[in-house]
Order: sequence, then structure tokens, then C-alpha cells
Amino acid sequence: MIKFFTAADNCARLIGLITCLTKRRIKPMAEPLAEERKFFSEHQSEWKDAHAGKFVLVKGNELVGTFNRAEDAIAEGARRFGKEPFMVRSVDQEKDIYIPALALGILNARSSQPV
Amino acid sequence: MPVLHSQFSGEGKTKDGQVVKVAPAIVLVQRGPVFQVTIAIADQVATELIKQGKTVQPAISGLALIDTGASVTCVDDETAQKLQLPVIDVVRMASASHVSHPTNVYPIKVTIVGLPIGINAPRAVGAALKTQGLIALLGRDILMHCTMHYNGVAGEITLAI
Repeated sequence: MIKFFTAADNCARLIGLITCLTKRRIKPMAEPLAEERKFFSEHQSEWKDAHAGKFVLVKGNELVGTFNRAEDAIAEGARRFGKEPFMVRSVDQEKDIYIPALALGILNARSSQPV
Repeated sequence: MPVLHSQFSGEGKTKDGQVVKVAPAIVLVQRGPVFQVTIAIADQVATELIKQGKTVQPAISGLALIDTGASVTCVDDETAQKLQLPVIDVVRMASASHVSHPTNVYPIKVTIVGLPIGINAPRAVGAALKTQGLIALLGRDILMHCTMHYNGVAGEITLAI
């Protein structure tokens, strides 16, 4: 038997689908170290004065320590927290990372191959 | 000082399907300065994890492109996840498809196959490189430990650590 759907049927189906998807509330992926980054931005200016040129090791809302080298901060982080995320960052870090080949999408660009 | 010298080679097909050798200089232009490397968790993290009796994933091998335009080394995100690398920071990075987006930072160790020494890159930035056939972009943080000679005429790269 062939069943024909009217425009109203299709509309109702679509509304039903949207309602279903909305109710499911797809949970967005949590960004790692959100708490640590917030804590860092709240204290960066103070740490810049107190620990100029150093790397901080932060876990949650705690400044675990300051280090001369990132490697030392990472080793201490691994010793304390194992594979759990922890934050190691220079107190002077300001700008975004810029990798021209990725930013411009020219990693495999070939002018000799026209499209 | 260990030295790795490599000349690039490749083959192509003519219009009638005949396989011919391509000049090393052309291969280097097309492929770029790529090396076979292994990526592993950084030494300082691996040491601590082993002390704690935790497992450390074995190194993953693949191709890495030397990128003198990159200040920091990038590691393929999928590779980083397979290695179970700890996330030690999140930074914002511009890409071709996004103005600026958050990306994870991982502590890695890069070993260039043919050279006996591994170099730690404590702050390698995650990026989707697998689609390009790469597992890493070797930036200036790695190159600061090396001497590199790029011979475009002969299609050769010499790297010393």
C-alpha cells in the first residue's frame, strides 16, 4: 500500500524531530583546564610582578609552584597529578599561537596545480 | 655530532602511463622537508609515570614536516590522544577554517629516525595534521637544537643534532 504524506504531515514530523533533539540536549565537550585558565587570568598581573620570567604550575584554583623552566614544572605536575590535566604556563604569556602554514591553510598548497 | 643526510627521491607517471624517476629537487619542492619521526610522551612525564607504576604508551611513528615558519612544534591531535598525553595548557590558535580557536598543549618527545637523540618539546600544540599525512610539524623550538642545511638544488637535507 502506498501512503502519501501531505505537507502538514511532513511539517509535524519535522517539528517532532526538532523537539526530540532539543530534549536530548547534546552535551558540549568540556574544554580542559577551564578552571585553571580562569584562575591564571585572574592572577596573571600579580604573578608577573612576583614571579617574572617563571612558569607556573596550576591545578584547579591552586598555584602549586613556580619554576624557571617549563620542563621542571611539567615534571612536578606529572609527579603530583599523573595523567590528569594540569596547567603549565609562562606568567608572561600574552598572545595567541600563530603557525602561518596552518593559519593560512597552505600546508599543501600547489600553485602549479590549478583547480 | 650525529648527522642525518637524506636525498629525496620519487617517481611519477607520464601521460602514456610510463613510470619515470622525478628529480630530487622537484621531489623536495613537492613534498617539503619531511622526515620519518617517532613521537612519544616527554621524558620528564614518562619518568614520573613509570615511577608511579602507570603505563606509558609506546611511541608512534610517522612523517613530520620541518616548518621554519612555526615558532612551536605541532603534534597531530589524534596521535596525542593515542599516546594519552596529558594536557598541560590550552591556547588559542588561528587556523584556515577558524579565526582563532582553543587547542590543547602537550609535552612530547620527538626522535628523528636515523638520529640517536630525541628532543623534548614541552609545549607542542595540537593540530589536525593527519589529513596532510603528517604526525608533526617541527617548529623552531625543535630546530633550536639542530643545524640544518637545505640543499634545494640537489634535493637534499642535512640535519645535525
